Amino acid sequence: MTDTPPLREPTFFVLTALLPAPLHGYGIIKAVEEMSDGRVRLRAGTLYAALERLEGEGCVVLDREESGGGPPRRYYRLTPAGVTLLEDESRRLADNAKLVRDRLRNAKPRTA
Amino acid sequence: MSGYDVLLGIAGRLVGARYPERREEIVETARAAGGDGGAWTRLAELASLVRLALAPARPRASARVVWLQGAVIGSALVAVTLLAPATPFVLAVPFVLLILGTIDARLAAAATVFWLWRLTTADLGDVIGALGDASVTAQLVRWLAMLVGIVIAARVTRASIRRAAAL
Repeated sequence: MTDTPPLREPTFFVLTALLPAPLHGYGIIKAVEEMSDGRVRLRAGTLYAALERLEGEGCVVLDREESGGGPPRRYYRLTPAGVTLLEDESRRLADNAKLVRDRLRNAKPRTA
Repeated sequence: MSGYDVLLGIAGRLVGARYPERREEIVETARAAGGDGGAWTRLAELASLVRLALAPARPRASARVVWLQGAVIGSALVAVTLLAPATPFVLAVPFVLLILGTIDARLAAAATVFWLWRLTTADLGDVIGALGDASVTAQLVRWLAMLVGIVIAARVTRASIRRAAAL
């Protein structure tokens, strides 16, 4: 367990979206929307704020830039530090969820 | 050119002032994301760009440095209050710093330092006397108010530092 504070939700989803392969900004937004079944819809400003924080911590780097005649598309990928951060966060969330499940199992049902 | 494109251009200029090398990329992402939805989606995209452009940068300084920077700002405020008459405007400044301190921890730290100075330079003899003298209760209330101010400002500072450091 590390001393890292809990990740903000957008940051968590950005890291998770980048786990399989590098993605560009709009690709990250669509990936997050799909994997959360439409529950989380990142806005462009939120996405780039998260990317800035993650780049500053060395968790995400620029993978490549593509420009097929249109506007440039920058692809971002996770670094080993980003993977470690995501692993730590998933462990923290799993521990918390287990705690709740255990207490729910042991809780006596209340009568109205 | 649609109204959304015009507003994106304006928001893009704001974003470009802070992220000149990424302006085009960010605007294109917002354009694509806004194109998926209706008016509310586009409005939310625009708002997110404005927020991105105006939000304070993530501090790279440690908590100690944030407190030190706050102390410098607070000391400057103390100097101003020593030189300027204690008008309501001057007295309101630390409260404004405290509110802005929820966004920038240095400003909350400055408010902490300011009230700490006011407290430590208060005439403690008057304060002690106020405990047994109802006629100087106002002095006691002021002293307690400053003490509460210090505690609140210090807590706001710590919370802001934690929030700003969160990924």
